[in-house]
Amino acid sequence: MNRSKSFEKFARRMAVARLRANPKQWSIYRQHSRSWFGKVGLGLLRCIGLVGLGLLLLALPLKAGVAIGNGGRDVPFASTLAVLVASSLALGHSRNLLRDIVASRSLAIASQLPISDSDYFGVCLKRMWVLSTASLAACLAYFFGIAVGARMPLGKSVAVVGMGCVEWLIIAALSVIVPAYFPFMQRRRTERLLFGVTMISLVAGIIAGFRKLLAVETVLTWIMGILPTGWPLLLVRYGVIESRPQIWFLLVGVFLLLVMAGFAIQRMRSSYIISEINFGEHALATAVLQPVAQGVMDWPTFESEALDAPVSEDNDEQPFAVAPPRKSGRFWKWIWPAVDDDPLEHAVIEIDPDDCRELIRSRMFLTNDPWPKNGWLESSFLNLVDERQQLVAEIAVGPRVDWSRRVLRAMRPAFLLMVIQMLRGGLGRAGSMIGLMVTISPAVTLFGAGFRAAIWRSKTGHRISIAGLLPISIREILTLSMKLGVVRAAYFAPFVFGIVASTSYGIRGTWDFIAAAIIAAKAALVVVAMHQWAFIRQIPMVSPRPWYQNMITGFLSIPPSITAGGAAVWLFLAGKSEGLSLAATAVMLGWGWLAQRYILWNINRNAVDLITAGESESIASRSGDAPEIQW
Amino acid sequence: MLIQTEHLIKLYGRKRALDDVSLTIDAGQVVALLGPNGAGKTTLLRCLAGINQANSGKLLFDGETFSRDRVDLRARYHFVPDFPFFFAEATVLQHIGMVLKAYSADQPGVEERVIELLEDFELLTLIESNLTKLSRGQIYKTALVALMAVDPEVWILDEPFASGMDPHGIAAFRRRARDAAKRGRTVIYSTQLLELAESFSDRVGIIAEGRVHAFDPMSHLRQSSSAGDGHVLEELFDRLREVPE
Repeated sequence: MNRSKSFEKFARRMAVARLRANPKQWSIYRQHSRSWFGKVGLGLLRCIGLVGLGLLLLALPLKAGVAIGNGGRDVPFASTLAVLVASSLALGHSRNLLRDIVASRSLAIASQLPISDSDYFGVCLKRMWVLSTASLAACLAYFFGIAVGARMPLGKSVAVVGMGCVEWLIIAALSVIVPAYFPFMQRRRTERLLFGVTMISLVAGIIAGFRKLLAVETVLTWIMGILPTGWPLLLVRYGVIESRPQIWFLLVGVFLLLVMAGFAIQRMRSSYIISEINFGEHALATAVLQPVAQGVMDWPTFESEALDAPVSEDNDEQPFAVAPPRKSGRFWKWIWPAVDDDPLEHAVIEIDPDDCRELIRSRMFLTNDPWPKNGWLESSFLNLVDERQQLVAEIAVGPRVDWSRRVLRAMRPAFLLMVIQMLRGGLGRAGSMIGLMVTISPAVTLFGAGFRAAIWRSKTGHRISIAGLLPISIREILTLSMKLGVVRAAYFAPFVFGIVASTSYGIRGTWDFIAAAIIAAKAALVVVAMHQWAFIRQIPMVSPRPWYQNMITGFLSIPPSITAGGAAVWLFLAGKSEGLSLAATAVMLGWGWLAQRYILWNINRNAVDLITAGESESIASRSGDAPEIQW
Repeated sequence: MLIQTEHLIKLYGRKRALDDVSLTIDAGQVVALLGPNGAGKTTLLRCLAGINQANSGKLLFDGETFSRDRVDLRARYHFVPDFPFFFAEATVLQHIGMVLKAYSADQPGVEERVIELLEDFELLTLIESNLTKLSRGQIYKTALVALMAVDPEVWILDEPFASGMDPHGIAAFRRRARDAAKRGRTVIYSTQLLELAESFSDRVGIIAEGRVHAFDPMSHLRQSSSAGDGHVLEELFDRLREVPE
């Protein structure tokens, strides 16, 4: 809650005067008061960062606009990218709006206070509009860039910049139309589908363009025509620059979108009902927009006897509490988040006591959980561990193990790239490097995921390493993580070999084969090093040690993104100097080893607290002296 | 197991959460830690459990200095936080099985103990339920069943009586903790319920602003108090508030 600054000053003066009178209280106050850097320095740094970020956000669209205006080589790509970014912004805004009303903490708080639902929703809408002004600034900068790049006369420049406003209006309109009429667009599954379709369309477009099956220009025009966010660009190109009058009919489409946005707001206002509020540490509330046309939600079929209760009249009022109505002729209700898993997994299941006793006496719960039989990564990993390590791995991994599936999923873009490269007949050495980077990038994202369950999260948002609560040493977990890294690297190396061999090098002789194998081996080493860092970074720790030790641990725990950057440099160097690349690899591995040693040393000396707050600040950082270390 | 702390100091920044805490806890006792909010009770429990590390001072288990790599020492106690940790995907039975295996307490015969405990805490029919779908009290009961199934030498519990358990669950916990103490187990817990602590504990520690103001057997406290049964700790607390700063 914000209060006036003068009141804050007055209250502070009063409090400080009273505290000074009592030495003990004054000492406690001094302990908790922030330093000059905390009070002013951080604020200054934040301001500088925000201004820099704002300038960057404006400079990027300006640069892209200038490129398009100049008619340079990147025009089709820059335009397509602009359209996609604008569409993403619209989706992002609509998602923000939904977040405010669905499973929302602030809604849970507001619903307990005498605040009307419509007022709350109105504020959410306004917040969305205000947030979207950032899009307006970017749109204006972008179209201004086009006008500058094309060196247009003033009249045309004004018209082009005006298109920036049109673009923003389209984004804002879509931001309310999507949640009101197409709520399923916000579902994770639909998002994935959209992303997949976009990627496939892009790849298909690029292949068609390179293969000269379709003019790039045609592809671009189609994309712009289909997506409303592309209309302003079409208007600029064919309306302002080429002066074709018929293109201005697109403005009718814009007008219709705005009218539809008005209806969307009315629809959401009139159908906005808070359906469920959960109190407690994770207070959340869910609003339901109803009624929504039948069939909008594809609820899973509830087969279980436990959930097969007859639908009562109350169900219409409390759709969250029971299975949704399955009879035809009823309205389906849209509820967020969407149910996308097996409902039995999330249900309270009661079993006959005799069956329970039998189940426990079978001792099945004391045997190791079955790991996926078909998982090549899992089975290879299990071959490397003994019984105790398998138990620790099971605890660290959690009930679900799906490494192989995750790896395959993450490798899909790399496979696609390989296919494109093959179709194009190779991109040369630079292409090979890009290929490797694209292959590594998705892999980096899941390196740390292997033992993610090694970190537990309580309902209060606190996180703790399992090594903190159970008699398992952190050394055991690190060893397991290293073994998993080795297994992953072993599977990764042939893939890198395939990429290298199928693109720039080719297999034209023994030396080519050896060169590809060396690169694959080095990439595997990088994988092992990155795997360790990604894992170490997850371990939540607060160090009560002096600042210089915190600095050392901070230095050692370089985030994976920087590590990936290091890998990029290394891969680049691989083509330049073998000596340098080997040195870089040695540094990376040495660094990983050093980080591990330091962590073990700290933990075994009990120099770290193995518990920290997840959502709020950690206890240590709250008191202002010992910052939380991000591992 | 004999637990000793020697001059433990725990700092959060410049705040002293524990200030020169020296205690000796003998085996076979039920020990209550009492104190106002923010007094340092949970910090002390976490330090005993090896989750938080004191900035200075020593923690000794049976005379041996504790450090986190002493997995053998860690296998002799179990800590249940006020909000127990668990895998979001795990069921009640999976969680219990996991803890038993981690403590190597999965020897033949344990299944009968697990059944008995589940029946006692009214969880038997819920063993295949996902933990996230259970109430807070049921989750705490699950953590308690795991602890009691392992039956380590030291039970460390944070606010078990404010865990959302129903009266039946609380009664079951008290009964079983008493039995455990008779078998030589040590039960250390924190609470704000003075009457309950008075009737349930063998020894009481009162902490305020990180300092231990009293750590005496209940019998001593009763003798030194003028208040009647059920109000001894209340009187002590009142006296604590009257201490001039």
